[in-house]
Amino acid sequence: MAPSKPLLTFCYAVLLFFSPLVSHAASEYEDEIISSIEDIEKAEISNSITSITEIVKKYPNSKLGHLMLGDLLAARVGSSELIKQFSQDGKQLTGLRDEIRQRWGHVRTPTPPTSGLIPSSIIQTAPDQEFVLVVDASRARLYVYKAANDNYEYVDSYYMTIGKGGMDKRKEGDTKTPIGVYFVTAYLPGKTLPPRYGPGAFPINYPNELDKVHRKTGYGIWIHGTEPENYNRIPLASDGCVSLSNDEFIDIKKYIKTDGSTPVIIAENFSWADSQTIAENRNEFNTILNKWKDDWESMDLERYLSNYSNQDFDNGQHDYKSWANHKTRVNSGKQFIQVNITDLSIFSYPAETEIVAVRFKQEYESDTYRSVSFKKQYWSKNADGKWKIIFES
Amino acid sequence: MKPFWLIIINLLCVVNVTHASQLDIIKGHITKGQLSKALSLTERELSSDPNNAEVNFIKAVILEKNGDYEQARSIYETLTITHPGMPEPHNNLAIYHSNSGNIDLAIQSLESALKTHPSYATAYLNLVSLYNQLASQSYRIALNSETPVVYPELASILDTPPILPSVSPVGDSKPVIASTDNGTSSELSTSSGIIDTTQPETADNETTDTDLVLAASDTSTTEPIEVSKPYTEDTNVKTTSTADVVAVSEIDTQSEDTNGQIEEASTSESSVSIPTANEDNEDEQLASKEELVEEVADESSSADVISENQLLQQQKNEIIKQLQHWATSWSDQSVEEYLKHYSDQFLPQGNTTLVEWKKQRKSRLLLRDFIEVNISQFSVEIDGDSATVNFTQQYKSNIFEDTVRKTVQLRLSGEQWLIYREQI
Repeated sequence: MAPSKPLLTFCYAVLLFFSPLVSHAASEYEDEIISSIEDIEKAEISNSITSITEIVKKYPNSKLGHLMLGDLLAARVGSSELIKQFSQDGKQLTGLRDEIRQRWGHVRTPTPPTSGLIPSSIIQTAPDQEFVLVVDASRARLYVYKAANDNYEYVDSYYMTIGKGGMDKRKEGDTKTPIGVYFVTAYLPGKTLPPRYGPGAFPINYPNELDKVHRKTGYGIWIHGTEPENYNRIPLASDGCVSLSNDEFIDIKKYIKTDGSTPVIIAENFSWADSQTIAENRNEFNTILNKWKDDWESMDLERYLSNYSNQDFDNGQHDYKSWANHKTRVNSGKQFIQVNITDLSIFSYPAETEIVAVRFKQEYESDTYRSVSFKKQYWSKNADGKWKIIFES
Repeated sequence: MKPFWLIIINLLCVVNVTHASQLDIIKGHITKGQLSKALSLTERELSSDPNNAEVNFIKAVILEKNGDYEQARSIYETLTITHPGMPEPHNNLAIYHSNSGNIDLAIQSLESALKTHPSYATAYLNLVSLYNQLASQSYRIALNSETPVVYPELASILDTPPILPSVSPVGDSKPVIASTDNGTSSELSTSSGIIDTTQPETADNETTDTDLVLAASDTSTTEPIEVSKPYTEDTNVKTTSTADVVAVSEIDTQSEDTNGQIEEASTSESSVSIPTANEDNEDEQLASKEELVEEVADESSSADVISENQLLQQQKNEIIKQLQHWATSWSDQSVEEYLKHYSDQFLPQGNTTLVEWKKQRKSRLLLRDFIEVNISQFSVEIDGDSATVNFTQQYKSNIFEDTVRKTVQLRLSGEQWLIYREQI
């Protein structure tokens, strides 16, 4: 059955569930939409008709604005059935309702970011990683965190739309949005793209190393704008990308660098932590990494290999056994090994399995070999609670 | 020397002023929240004039504010029987019914409120049509719908009831009612909101109710139901024509003067059924434009008394009817019928002659697989034998589609209004 009750009814439902709080909206557009709903809340129907009329004048492609206006006008004269003539399959209507629920939820309810919490996925950022983008599908929100003195501050947020297939992309064409830790790799200006991407796009590195190991396929997961017909998309309306309104896409550019130093963590849900917990996580993982480094430098092969998962290690070239053989061959007969780690970044995977993505600059020196490289590792917690490396390159 | 009746009227005016100021004082007390003072003043007024409708009404409003709903309701109910032409008691009774969950009765009461004056219903339905049109336009965009928007043909009111000198400023009582409304109905709208959301599949009735209340709870803008002036006039008509009710001497005296008019009014009220009497909104909305126009034309010809205004309105309707025919023949691609609407003096735009233009039109009309022309939203200005009409023209054919605002100038030639200018 196609849902076709006017949005107004829904607004009241929302109002009953959420109590008014300090508002924090990222955009003027959202502010205006929300304040119109507040007029409805106060039963100031003509005010809200006036303000929504202004909104649709200012943002003629705001589907949400038009829906609210239609509902208010219809409600004014009791035409609650009118909407049925225009709502064919109910999809667009449901989508718009979800959008308003998400936007309202962001502005009018305490959210973890607005309450000073940090996604526990952020453990440590490298010095060049100034901002971290956090895509929270459950809230249809992209949060921006700024790294500041070993701490993370919530600076901004944007309403966004994910793939129509939902979350956890696995294969090409499933129109899902991947879950994981990614990095922005490039900028594609809008004039080089079809109009549906709006003013431009930031591709991310899906499939990343771990995705490839997990045989995940597909490509072209971008953060991009919206086609000209819509002010923004309703939730779940991309092919797996993260879509923002064009105004906000242009705004978010200031937070994004394309040299791989802008992490984008994407999840259905995040767990949230205060800054003290984040610091504890950071210490814990630094200890683990230092142990790995010490074990390597000890030249005790058994100690060193104990850091690697004999079940799950797979870096595309080696499984655990061939990795052990390779390392045994390479490390044998060395006089000394010295490893220096800098520019370390650590992000934990937001999905249910505990995986941590680690990147750092590695300065390696032994009596026979010397190198500087950027290392990528993925660590996973095994059944007995020990962190083991499942990928390294 | 002044005629005797004029002196009486003058005297009555004095009486009247005191009466009105007494009501003002009562209302002043109500506004200040001095309800018991207001109540005792109304009681005093009623002791000398127990059947005074306005004072009784004010009393009910005070009682309602005091929370004495039952007593208020019984006064409202009495008023709807003794003064069925007063819309206010019907309206406030509707709020009472609605609050006690009796939606059907509430709707009935509101319908009765609208029926107190035929123009209310027409104006209200016209307003509904326009709100629906706007809402449809928005829904269409919001929901990416292909469903066309229905552009309503508004019903015009062809007859005005006679305007009698108003006896007392009943209109003033409005703000008081409005403030009562506000208090009760905003509560109401919230509670209906709950019902609606917890039971998403509730009957249509309830939804309608919510919306109505929503509309009523807002006092700041045009409210379809609250038109105070026509009420004043109408009450007078009713009071005099149905002599059993409160034979207020002032009105009796006046009716001597205006009796003729009153007679006319009551006949026209019963014989002219305005096209959109509040029987069935939906059917009205769905009725095709042509039907409506015809109906309007029929109505006007049956009216007994034709004022200058009505004549003008008839002419307007005739022009619209002829233009509708012009559009229909265009849609039907019947070239001959279509061209019959143009005058010999028609000046085609551009440098073509009339003959060339006619040829061109003929081929244009015939070459399309189909043509659909809908015209609506007319504004007609008549100046003697010529007229200028503005309207919205939706054109659609197998190869082209647009909606424009068009202006045509017409001249009356015999019975026919012929187009001599046409421009977008």
